[in-house]
Amino acid sequence: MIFLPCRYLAGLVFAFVMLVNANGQSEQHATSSWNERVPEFVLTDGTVLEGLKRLSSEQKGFAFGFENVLRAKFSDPPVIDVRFSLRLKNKSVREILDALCEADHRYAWSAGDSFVNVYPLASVDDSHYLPNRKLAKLEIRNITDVEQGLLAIAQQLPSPAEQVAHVQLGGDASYPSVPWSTSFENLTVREAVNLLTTHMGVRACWIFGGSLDFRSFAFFRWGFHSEAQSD
Amino acid sequence: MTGVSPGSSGFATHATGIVYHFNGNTCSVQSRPPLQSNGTGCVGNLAFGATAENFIFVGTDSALANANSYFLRGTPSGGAYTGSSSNSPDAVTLTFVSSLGLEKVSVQTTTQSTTSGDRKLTFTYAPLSCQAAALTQQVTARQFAYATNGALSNTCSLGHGYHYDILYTPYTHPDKAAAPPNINLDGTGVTETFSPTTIACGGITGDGALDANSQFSDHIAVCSTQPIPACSSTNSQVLKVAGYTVRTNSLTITNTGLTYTSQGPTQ
Repeated sequence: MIFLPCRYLAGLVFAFVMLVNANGQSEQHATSSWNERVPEFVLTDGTVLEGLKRLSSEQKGFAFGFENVLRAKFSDPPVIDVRFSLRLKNKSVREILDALCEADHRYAWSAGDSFVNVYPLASVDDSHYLPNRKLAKLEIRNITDVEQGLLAIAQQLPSPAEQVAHVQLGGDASYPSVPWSTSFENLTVREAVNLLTTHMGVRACWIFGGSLDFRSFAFFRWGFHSEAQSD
Repeated sequence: MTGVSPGSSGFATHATGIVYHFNGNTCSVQSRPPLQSNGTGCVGNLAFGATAENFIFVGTDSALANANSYFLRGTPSGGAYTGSSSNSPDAVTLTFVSSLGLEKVSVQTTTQSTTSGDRKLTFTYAPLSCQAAALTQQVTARQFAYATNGALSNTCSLGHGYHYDILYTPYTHPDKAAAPPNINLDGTGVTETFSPTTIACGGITGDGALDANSQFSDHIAVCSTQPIPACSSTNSQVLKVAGYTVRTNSLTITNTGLTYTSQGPTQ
């Protein structure tokens, strides 16, 4: 058996790079910067998510969606994350993402032109896993809040019905005030959430977590920030 | 100061050799350099090329650079610019913006003013073959210090739970004034920390930023398409703008509701 703890899933890239909506318009994003070199990347006793936040905050235009390993039941204690340290010099964004996933074998990543998705490796071939579920068509009508977009996804998925929640403390999940209407075809829930999030702003990120019996999303319009010098 | 109208940026000379500048809210005076000995009377000119604010913001957040910038136009062209602050640790960075034909001077400080207008920024321009010109701006170095917030209104649209978008207006010291809108503060980091870090109901924490109105939104949501299992925790939330604490809140989060209590500071 070949074990690939971390891999660049090129086959998934193109689904997000060039999604064509029902009006025939393309949703194309800025030129990829995954080969851009980072002079130094340091993570001390951090997790994959913390590394991802740090990397994205140091790379303009780098937005991401992160899917935590879900615990079995809502009442279960939190999943203990793997902690590790990295010091990488003059590596590309792609190589740093590889290193993050190699440090925590539970995760894999893939990327579109300006959006990185990191998700549990064990979920990759699971068609029942919520972010992998497929929508033949997603119609969005006059939404002014990301929750309305989540609701549209939940309502337009084929049976069985899925529970979704928006659970977050802090951060800014505000949406453009101009009502947004559009439609997309043949996409996964993950790709749909990428699109909902990108509409918030070019650096907007999302995080998925919770438990198998209570899944929740959080949205961050401005991405994440490096620690500023402070009081 | 004839020939310079209020609200504009300008440069006027007086026969006595004193040079007057009027830039927005600040009027400054410098000695005019003497005429060149070659008798050409060639004297460089330096003026602001955009609104020059009488304040800068304290912090190292890179997004502050735009709000802390001054644009200069020196004539005749081709000369060299300098910039300095009366507070010597301040960092002054100069960049020529070719698309504007203006020199951009960004100031970074980690030291708050003691009193309003106590800091002087000095800019100079030395044309190749003319006498140098100087321009000054008295500013207040404002540090984010506290915030007020709007009312809480539940906007959960998934059927169960709650979702509050809390709009904060940050204020600064020493002036105790709100950061004005539309001064390029958007993108300035708003970071949040929680204690304890474990939060009920699976809450995920994150950061925000100032918007174009120099305000920020904080979202607290426990909102689901299906009933939310029982959960509860009380956490302290610290909000920082550009790295400086502006608010501490106590949040009791449960599946049925939120108890939100501000713990200041209020000024």
